[in-house]
Amino acid sequence: MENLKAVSIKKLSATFDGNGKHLQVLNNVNFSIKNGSFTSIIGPSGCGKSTLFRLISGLPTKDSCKIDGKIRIYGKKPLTACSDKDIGLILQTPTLLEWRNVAQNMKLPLEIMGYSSDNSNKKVKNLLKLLELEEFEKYRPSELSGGMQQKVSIGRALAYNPELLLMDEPFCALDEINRRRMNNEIINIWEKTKKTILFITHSIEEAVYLSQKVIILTNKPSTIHKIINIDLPYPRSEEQDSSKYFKYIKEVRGCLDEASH
Amino acid sequence: MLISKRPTGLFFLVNMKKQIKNILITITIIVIMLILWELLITHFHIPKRIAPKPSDLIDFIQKEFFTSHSTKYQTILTKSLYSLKDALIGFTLALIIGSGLGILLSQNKTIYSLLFPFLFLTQLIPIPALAPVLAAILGYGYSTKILLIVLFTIFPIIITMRNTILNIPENYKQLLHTYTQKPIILFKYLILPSLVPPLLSIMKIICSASIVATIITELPLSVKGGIGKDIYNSFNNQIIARVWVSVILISLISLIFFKLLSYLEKYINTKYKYGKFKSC
Repeated sequence: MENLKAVSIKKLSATFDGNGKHLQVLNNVNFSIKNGSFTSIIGPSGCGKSTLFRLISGLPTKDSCKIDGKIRIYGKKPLTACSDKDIGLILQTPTLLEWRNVAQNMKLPLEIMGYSSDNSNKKVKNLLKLLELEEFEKYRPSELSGGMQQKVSIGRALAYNPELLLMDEPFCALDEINRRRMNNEIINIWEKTKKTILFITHSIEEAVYLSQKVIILTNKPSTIHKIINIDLPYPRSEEQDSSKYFKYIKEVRGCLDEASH
Repeated sequence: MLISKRPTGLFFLVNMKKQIKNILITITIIVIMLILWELLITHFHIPKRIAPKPSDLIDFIQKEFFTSHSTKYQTILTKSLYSLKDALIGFTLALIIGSGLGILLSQNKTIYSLLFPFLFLTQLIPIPALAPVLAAILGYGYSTKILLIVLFTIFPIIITMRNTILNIPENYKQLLHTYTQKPIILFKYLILPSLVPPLLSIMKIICSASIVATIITELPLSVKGGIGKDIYNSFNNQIIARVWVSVILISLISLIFFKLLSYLEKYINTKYKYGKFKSC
């Protein structure tokens, strides 16, 4: 896995045809992501970030969606990568099951994938420790704040040890303070687990703060406008290298403005 | 970051004082109504065949339940319990078949388009009209009675089950899809728990309906032993007190049935929180 590209996308186009409408969402998208890296995708609202996310994660698309091009996750098609447990999904909402407590929610994929009970319990225990959720093991999702719920969903995605974590605007519903806290948490998790993270966001600050590489998409039909490497050391803070940090924010904002027109 | 504390204690002990107060108020209102009823009927000299006095009903109860009868004699309680047994059989069958059909109709639009008009048709025809049609085909016996109860109660179950499945948030289905592509797993971990609250809710609605359906179906059919037939015969023989007590008894049984299901619903929903989807 180490030498393989985590994500490789070549000449990807997606078009929705139906009801007399023709809508091209993605047009000739090309990029690749190195194993173990942290990459963000940012683009104007409604540009097709979520469609791209669905295609990479192997989620079913509408029947009217025609796809051209090649998507490979560690050299495999997305559905195969999904079946091989290479992909962990973290969605916009935590999508936790209220009838299961924190530990049971984290255990859900393991139960479904047929892991033994002892093995599952051990894995969940380690995750609870990693995410500092040990004391909330028996809590139900509604008893936790939005940030903690999202942390549980990250734990659930990590439970079966996927190589690639796909995150679709996971902190969009959080307030600024909790969002920043969760950003630090996710960097911490990434550093500890060495997973590849592909993070979709509409926040420029978040993209720059988290990633090693920011991919900027244009308006529909979306294509790649620019890829910016963020050369800032981890752990990051706004105070540290602030001039460089704000320079990147300015650069991404400028590109995003260009991409929106 | 924690936003709420876990609830403690048993839910039925909460507000117990308030519940006792409510029960006492209800009993007082019933007693006042009975006294008024007795006084009005005596004052206006309303004959027994139109409306009996509460004292007439008490007389009947005393004779029915507290005097000895021949061994072959069946009290209205025995007959009511016989009808309740049939209602429970119909209720259970309607739940099983209705849930199954609801699940089936949620999975395939073609099956839904084919079956729905027939299911809807059963709701348009009242039981007394449908009973002779079915009886002519299936006979005037027990199976027709159960089938009529099922037909009378099944429709809301099918619709509720189907709508519940269709309303499960898409992101939950997508997430489970990344863990497995087996539909049975999706059913076990997502659909089945989602169906628990609406099922409990619909059980409360159809419990009384199944008793009503049982009584109505007993009138045109030749099935013996039920309270419906007894009410009909008592009315024809002008034993009005028996009709009234039977109706009150059936209402009490329905009420107890409903209350038990309400407690079950509250207990399961509070304890397990099935079918609740939480977002940020």
